[in-house]
Amino acid sequence: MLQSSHKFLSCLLLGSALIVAGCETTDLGTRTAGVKTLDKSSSEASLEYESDKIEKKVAKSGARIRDAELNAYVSGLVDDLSGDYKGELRVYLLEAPVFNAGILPNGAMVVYSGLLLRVENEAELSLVLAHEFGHYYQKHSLEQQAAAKNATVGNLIFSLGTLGYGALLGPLIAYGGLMSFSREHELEADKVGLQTIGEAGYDTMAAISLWKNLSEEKAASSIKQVRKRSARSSIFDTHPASVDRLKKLQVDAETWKGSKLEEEKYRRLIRPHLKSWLKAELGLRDAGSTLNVIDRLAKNGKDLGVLEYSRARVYDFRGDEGDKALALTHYLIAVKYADAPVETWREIGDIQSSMGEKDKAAKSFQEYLSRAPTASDAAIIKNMIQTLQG
Amino acid sequence: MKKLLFVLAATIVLPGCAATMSAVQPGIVATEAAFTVTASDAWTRFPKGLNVTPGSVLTKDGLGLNQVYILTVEDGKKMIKTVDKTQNFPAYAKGQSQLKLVDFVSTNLTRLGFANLETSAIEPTIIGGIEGVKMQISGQYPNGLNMKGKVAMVENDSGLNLVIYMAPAMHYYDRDIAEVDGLINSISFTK
Repeated sequence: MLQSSHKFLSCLLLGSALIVAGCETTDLGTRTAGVKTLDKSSSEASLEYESDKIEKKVAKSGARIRDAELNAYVSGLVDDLSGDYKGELRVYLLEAPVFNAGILPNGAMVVYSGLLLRVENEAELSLVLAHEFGHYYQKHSLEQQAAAKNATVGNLIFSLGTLGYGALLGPLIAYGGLMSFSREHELEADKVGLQTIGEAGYDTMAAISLWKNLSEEKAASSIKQVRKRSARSSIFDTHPASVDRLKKLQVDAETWKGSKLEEEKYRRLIRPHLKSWLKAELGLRDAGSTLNVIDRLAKNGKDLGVLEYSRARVYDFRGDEGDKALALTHYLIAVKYADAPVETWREIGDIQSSMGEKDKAAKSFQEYLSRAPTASDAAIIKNMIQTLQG
Repeated sequence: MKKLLFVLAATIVLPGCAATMSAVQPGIVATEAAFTVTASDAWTRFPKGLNVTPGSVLTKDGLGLNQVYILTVEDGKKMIKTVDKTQNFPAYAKGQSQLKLVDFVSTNLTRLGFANLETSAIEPTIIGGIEGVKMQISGQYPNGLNMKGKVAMVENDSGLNLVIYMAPAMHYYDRDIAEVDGLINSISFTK
């Protein structure tokens, strides 16, 4: 799992792994393509059974991204990257503003929109997908369970993590148990990921750019605890310290070096979702982080209507001194581009109204209504126009 | 988010726990908010300690089937309580436009875990003698079940006063909407 949002469970699982360091080996080798567990009483079968239950809940989730082309694209990448294991993995795209992906022991992979928004090209996405495939290939979930079984405490912790929380909270929390891995597992998955994308012809330096971008984003966060966590230990809660990991990634990236990035193609596929994914990011009220993401998305000069609108929204909500004027400036920049959301006119009117610019505000609201006559908020906009016009 | 989801989930799995629930009889209902409502039917009050909002929660059949949040968010305060310091929730700021209030409520509901939340029929209306806003909401619960709801919001000196009703789109929303409209129409400010 690239980032656990369930630090508590992850710590417990990591702790349980450390307790049993001196016990029998937990290296279970690699998975054989196309081979299913026959012994239904085995730990493997038990994990797969639990995974199947979670997968059913994920499949029904209201947060699933239903874009057929995007789903087919990501699933196709997974198929291409998994070689002999093609067809064994199933991908679920979920809308949630977190940089996260994970894989269940039964081959169900989840990828969150927060991750899709942050990767900049097909090479970076492929790295993440291949990394998750690495966990599957290396049987890391089973090894994690075997490590936990070596200690009574560890076993208890694992059960709590996967069954208790899973049963209580549904699939999103259950991931925390079944998709959290140790440092060693993450490094192994990194290696599989890099080798896989390198052999597929992708630029493996994507790994470095991805981690650097994420590190910079955390440092830019407006939330002190997020910045503090970033500076103190690692890019990701469950992952090796950032410096060590980056060094390792750099060495491995040199070993398997391709050149394919596919930035344009990737951007075309996520373009229809930029507005809603950024709206979800705005809901997190982390202005620093969101502005960092917008800056990166805007650097190639594409989609500036949506991006400038979203940037203006950040200032609008942040509400620091001068932010209102800054927001207005960026809304006005946004409307120069064809892809500016129609709501931009509404927000311009709202700010002009708050600044006492009644005539301008009324005109902006009228512009909004002329472009969106059946808008769900048309009634309050008409009411606001009436008030502005006295 | 995980702590929030835990509390939310706990509120869903615990409706049968008699020790933590209390009956609400028809009549004037005292709430944690800065206003009362009048119920024409019996409800159950959800335990304050499990409520993630600074208000009261009423239900008839358990939160998964119907829930009415009755709350007042004070100036500078948040609608959702969390102890996770890595999470930041929108704070209410007095004097915002109605557009911003609509966004404030829908953003908070999205943060609670409702997927594809949509607002519709957003209209100015008089609530408790003051101009406020009513709107419809729809979306999905985290388990994928379609949800429908109604929100009434109005500002006064106490803050942003809210009644938020959510229920499965199939059967439950329609069954109780008249009763909920009654609650909204009976809002009487106490502060």
